[in-house]
Amino acid sequence: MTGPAGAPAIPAPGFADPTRDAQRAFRAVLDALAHPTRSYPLSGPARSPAALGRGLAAVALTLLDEDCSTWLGGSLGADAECAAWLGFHTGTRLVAEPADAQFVLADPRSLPPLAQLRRGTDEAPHRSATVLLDVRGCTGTARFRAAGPGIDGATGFAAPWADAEFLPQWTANTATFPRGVDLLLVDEDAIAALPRTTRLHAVGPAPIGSASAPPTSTRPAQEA
Amino acid sequence: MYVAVKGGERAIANAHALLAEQGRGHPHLPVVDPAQVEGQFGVLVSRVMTEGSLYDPELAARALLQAQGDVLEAVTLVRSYRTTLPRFGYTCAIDTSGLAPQRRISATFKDLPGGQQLGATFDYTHRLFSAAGAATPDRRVSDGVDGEDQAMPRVADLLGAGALIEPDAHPDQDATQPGDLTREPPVFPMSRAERLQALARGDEGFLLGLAYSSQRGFGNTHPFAGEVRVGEVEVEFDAPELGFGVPLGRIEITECQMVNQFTGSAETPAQFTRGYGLAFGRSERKVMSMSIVDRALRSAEFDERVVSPVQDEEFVISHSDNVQATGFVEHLKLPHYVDFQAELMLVRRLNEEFKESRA
Amino acid sequence: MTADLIGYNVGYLDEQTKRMIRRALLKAVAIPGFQVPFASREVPMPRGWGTGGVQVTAAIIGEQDVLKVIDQGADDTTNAVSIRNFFRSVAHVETTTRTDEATIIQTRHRIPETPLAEGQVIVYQVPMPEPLRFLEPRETETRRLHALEEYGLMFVKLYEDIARFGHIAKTYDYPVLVGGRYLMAPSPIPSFDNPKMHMNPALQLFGAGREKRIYAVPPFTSVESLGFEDFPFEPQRFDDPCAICGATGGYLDEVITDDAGGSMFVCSDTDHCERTAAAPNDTTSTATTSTTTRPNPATPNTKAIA
Repeated sequence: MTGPAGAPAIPAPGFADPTRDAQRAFRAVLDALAHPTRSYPLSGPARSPAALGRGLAAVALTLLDEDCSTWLGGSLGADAECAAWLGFHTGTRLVAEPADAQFVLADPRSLPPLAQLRRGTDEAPHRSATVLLDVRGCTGTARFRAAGPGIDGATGFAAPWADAEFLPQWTANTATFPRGVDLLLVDEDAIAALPRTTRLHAVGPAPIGSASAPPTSTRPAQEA
Repeated sequence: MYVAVKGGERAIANAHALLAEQGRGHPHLPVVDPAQVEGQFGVLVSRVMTEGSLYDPELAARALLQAQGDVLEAVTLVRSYRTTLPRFGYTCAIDTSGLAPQRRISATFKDLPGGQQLGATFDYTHRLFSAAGAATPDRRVSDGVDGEDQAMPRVADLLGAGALIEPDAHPDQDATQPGDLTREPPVFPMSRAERLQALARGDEGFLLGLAYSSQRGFGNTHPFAGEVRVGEVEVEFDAPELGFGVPLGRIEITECQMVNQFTGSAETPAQFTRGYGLAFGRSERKVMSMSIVDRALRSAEFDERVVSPVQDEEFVISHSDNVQATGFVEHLKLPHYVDFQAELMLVRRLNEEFKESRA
Repeated sequence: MTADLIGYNVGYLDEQTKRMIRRALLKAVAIPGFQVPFASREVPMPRGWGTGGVQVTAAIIGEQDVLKVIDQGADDTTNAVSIRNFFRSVAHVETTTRTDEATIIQTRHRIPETPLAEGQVIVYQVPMPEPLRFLEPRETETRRLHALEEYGLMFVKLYEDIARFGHIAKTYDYPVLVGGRYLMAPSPIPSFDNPKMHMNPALQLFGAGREKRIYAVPPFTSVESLGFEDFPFEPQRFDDPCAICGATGGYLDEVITDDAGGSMFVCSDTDHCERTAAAPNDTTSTATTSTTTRPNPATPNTKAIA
């Protein structure tokens, strides 16, 4: 992806088959949002910018274009190749303030506090941010119990990307329903989601349904 | 035994064949060429382009032929093609004061810079059938005036220079990018730019009726046709990389500036206000209706009481689109067995209950 | 010149339009029952004939999908055939009439009798997405009522029915409350079908093309039909079996068989009917193929509605 010295780099290709690849990726995103916490396979362009990764590249190509505004956090924002690639393939308008963005692309460390993002209004709750969180290589131990629309009863799920700050922020996010942000958890080859309707409760790190009860002392986060 | 309606597949195929047969007319007569429609049905083609929101006379002519002359069907055809076209960029705003009119009239001033130019119009024709087959037009007689060479400032600008008419853009108006009705969902209340887009796409007949209603007392416009002009104007593609507009070609348009009296308010002295209409091709009736409705819908800007349908934005805009209107009215042809069954059972029940109560 | 350039994208809609609709769909799923405005496009069928459903289906469908299209519950009604053919030609998808084989079901006015499964998507064609529209014609006003969760108007309307008729006189497009928050129009399905929406494992998407709204009910979401404690919601019911397949418990269409008041009741869901008829003797013993003739039109033999 590096061009000859001094010459601007030519962005790596996007989807090999834009229509069909975008359709498949969109169905993964839709399925993920309709079945919160459940992971769906995602396949992205083979040579996407490293900072973005295949999964995030696929979601960006599927959802972003010149009609939407995007904020890039952390290493994504600092990465010139990433911005050039997004600009070339999607034409999305990059904005400087996360509060102005319809789409927020960030990793767990660069994710701004959820309360600072667009949450819509009571009349127009859909005019709210969608966070595309890069969860590649996260190694946290957080586990939650999730309930809400799209989940049959309740389900447990591992959230290695969640730090101690996350749960109280998320609880506040669900409390303002119908306003709120929606979260897409994008891995290299998979996607899961947390719409604003999903209520989370902290549980211990042991898998749900295992014989041993989770020791309370290792709870990664407490409810606000 | 009785077999319920079946065989939708075959029915549709047969219906299409029948339709094609009917549209063909007498097989011994030649098929009409789209170029003939484009050339000889110019007013009709203009309407399809305007309400179809796509300037392409050839395509509009084809649509009219395929639709067997059904204007709304042709508009639907054009729009549902238009909407699939990728958008490469935007054109610069067209400059209508720069257009060399082939027709330009003002009802407010007897003479004005650039002069009146009657041009091609039905206005003073006698509506008598001309002899069949008289295809060759009479020769034009030179009147010694070549309008194309003369500067023709807009009438509204002449008044504007003396501050007797409101400025072109209302100071309150958002001067940034206008919204795009075909790309963003309409949200009420709309900006004037969005409203004008909706009116431009709106049904000529509907707008005509509304404009007429406001003239008859269901509204409070007192319009003067400040200016109607028809002519060709240059369209330029806005190429931000270049910093200047790239000419794409010329399109024919009709523009109307309707001037309305306004008695003034606490903040504003008495002056004239404007209603605006613009359409593709030759569409005078449309732009005049549009400009009257545009002005009527600006009630809020002038603190006017909204008392008539023509002043009601939601009423006018929600019902002006003929593609939507005709679809929904005609969808009543679709089966409604299920809902009718539900209603039938309810009516039977209510009927029985009524009888029981009387017994 | 343009004549030779005309071509359409796979799935008809251009990619930019699909992205716009897809973004709206995601917000719709995230806010169950809320009507998301979208810049509805023209599609090659008239407004009111399913253009919203067609746009939603076009935005989600892919070659791995199997599509079923029904109108009035039937696969062979002309509009269902027309829409099915459209997608076969522009999206190159496989189609089916079997509910259980479909991954996407586009429907007008019915929910299939065969229970939907997880992973399926049902797309409703919606004429009037605003449940409050006939009570309050203004968009600016209904938008505010939804924001305030102020649904008193609807309850008043239903209560007026009770006061006048002794029961609620709404038989289709019966209003529902989604996720305990948003009042939603279920589209003109008969109230008979309303209970199927509640906690349905399938994803339910709603497209209103003319009115430019998209909304959704995610799987396993509560969908309550409005009612009162003393006058709870009661869907319409049929006591008679289908005259063709003998199935009971399904929604029936009344078919007029002669000009002397004769009629029979047959399944509105043609797939359900065919399969019940083909199944070896596992239906009820009341199965009959004779036409039911009403002796006197004034005393119908339907004992509909509880």
